[in-house]
Amino acid sequence: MNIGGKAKQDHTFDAIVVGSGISGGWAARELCQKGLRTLLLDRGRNVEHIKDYDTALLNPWDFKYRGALPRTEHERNPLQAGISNEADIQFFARDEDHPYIQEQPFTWYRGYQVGGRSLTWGRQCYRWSDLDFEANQREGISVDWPIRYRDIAAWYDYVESFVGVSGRKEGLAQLPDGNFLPPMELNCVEKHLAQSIKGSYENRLLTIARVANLTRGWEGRGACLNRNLCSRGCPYGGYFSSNSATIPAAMATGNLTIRPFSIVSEVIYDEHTARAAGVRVVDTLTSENVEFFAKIIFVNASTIATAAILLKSKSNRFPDGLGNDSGQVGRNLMDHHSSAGAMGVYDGMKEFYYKGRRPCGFLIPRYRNIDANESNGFLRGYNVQGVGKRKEWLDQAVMPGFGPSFKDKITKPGPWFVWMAGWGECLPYQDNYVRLDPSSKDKWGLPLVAINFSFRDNEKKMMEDIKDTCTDMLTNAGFEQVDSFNYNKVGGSTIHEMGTARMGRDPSTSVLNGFNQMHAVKNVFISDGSCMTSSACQNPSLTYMALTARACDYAVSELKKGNI
Amino acid sequence: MNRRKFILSMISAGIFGGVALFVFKKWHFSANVQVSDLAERRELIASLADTIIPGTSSPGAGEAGVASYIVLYLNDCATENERSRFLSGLERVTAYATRKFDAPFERCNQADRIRILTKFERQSTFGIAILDKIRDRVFGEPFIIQLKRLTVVGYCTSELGATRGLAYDYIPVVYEPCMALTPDQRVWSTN
Repeated sequence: MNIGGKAKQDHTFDAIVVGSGISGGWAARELCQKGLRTLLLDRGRNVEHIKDYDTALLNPWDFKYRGALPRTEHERNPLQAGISNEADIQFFARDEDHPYIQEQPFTWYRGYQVGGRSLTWGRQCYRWSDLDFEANQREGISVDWPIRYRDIAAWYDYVESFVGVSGRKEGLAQLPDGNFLPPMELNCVEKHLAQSIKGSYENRLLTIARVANLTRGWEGRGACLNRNLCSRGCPYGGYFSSNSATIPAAMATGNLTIRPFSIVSEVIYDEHTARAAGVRVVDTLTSENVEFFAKIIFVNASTIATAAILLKSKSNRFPDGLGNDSGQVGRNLMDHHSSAGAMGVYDGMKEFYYKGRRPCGFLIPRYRNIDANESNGFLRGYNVQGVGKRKEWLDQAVMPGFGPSFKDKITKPGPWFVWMAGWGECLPYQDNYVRLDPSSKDKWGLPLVAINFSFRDNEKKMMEDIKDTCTDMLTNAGFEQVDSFNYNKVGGSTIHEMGTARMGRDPSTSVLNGFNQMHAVKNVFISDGSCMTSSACQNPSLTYMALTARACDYAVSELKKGNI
Repeated sequence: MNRRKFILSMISAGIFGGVALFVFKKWHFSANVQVSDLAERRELIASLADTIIPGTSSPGAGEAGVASYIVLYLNDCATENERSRFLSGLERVTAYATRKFDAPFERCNQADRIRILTKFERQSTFGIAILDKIRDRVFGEPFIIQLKRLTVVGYCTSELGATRGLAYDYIPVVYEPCMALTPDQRVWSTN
């Protein structure tokens, strides 16, 4: 399709952002606020804040299956049904509409709607430190990050001041403090474990999770009301999402155009200018191809989809995909592992309970391989995330007995217990990859993505260590029936995919430079998970947001200087 | 493989095989039941559920309509294997009640009903957690565990169960991390 004259004008913007999830939402807000007329594309439907949260206020008995999903959903859409329930299934992509190839088992959970997975994310917000940014260089693994903590620190401040992150300052070098709203609070059993850990281990502490749930009203959004139903969408705006925060802010500038139902099939490369001219879109309502043009393009479609778009964008200059001179596009796929941990029961404090449903747990920041001389049989580290509660009816449902005495047992709070698991770093391996399979197509005629991923020795050794240290901390704090576990979940299960278009200093070994700018095509920027050179062990979204704001600032200044 | 290891592995294979066969006989061969039986068994299901969670000072499973939930769940959500295991469990309850108390379960008195269920519960475990786990992994949970879980879920997510049997806190507003537990405090119905 060729567009010229006025039609082309209507399809021309200052900037295009591909994908409206957590990083795309930020790109849209930043670019719009800097005065750029911005087109925000998403492959799914629009989800308007509050209005489209259909299930947000329903009671358990309002759901036909009380939260369960019918068998047919599990049979036809095992991934979607495996990650969702009756209340939030609408925010996860259907397997049958969006197939992909698992060369090894890999669960690719997607949120195909405006807002993407920012509607259903876990909301944990942790800064990286130089322990993370320097790790590749120190160990000679993969390539060096082109940035250090000092390059991103101010941008963490910047995004936190808008997101609204509740948390406690702990003064740790490996987990820098942020600009926090008041922290959520630990309950009795968590405080007990925290005290025990503090008294027993030199370099460990337990703190409340740092989360994008508001402990007071913030930027026009209401405080979290402790319902713990975040994944349905929050009618009070109690947690951060593109829908509740960045998209409304971008819209308020008058510079934003949102176009849902738009699958980007490729980025159009202009050989004469050596720049990207725009994007080609499949309109999923009409099946038509449409082109849009802009001076700056941000590809934030999420790690795997972004890599796929680049690989599909072939030209004479880039026969292996846009910006893929290094051959690294699609490689180095990472996902945190979160399979190993321990749980135990605490016999005591029976006179205490809690009220309300706090939407987060606790964090034990990384305590392994902090010191360069330390050796634990594996590289890098993990943090421990967990929660303490009293056993409730679902945990007690199959206790022995029948009749009034059984009823009494299940309607009273049971003993306190703690469940906790390690969220561990995954090293970048070149042969953990995403590729296109030209022999199979989706319903829009686009080649399917094939994913080949596995955890290796380093991750497996780390899981063993997680089991040991978690068991030790619980036993040491007087917990009983302490059981360690390893769920052996496959890649993708933690939903922290990253690494498929890594940043680096050298164009021959990386795709993006230190400003998330494509080495080879200066007006293309990528600041979703695909830009990550290593994975650290922190939940990554906050870092994507900070990198995005920083990249937008750089992109606009380069535009003004006439460099792009 | 040395001799000691060989003997040990033969013993464990023997135990596992024995368990498997025993369980297979018990849980599989009695599964010649039809899906259409489900609706006809609603009265039985209702009295089983109400025996597990009877009306006391708060509503019981009967009043909370738990049987409808169980039938709906088994029809639409359960796998075929889960459903037939459940249905054959119902048959065995009826057969046992008739043999032992000369009446189908629904018409037994409360004390006899509890005797029947207690007998099924005792039979549902080997008394060794790991063997139960292997059994559940290979054949699925025994009928009595299915029944209990469905009854508890159905009750605790029903309006009557959640709001009057348990404590329902629709919009908590604040989180109180450590409050003193009063004697009449019920467990929260959602978490």
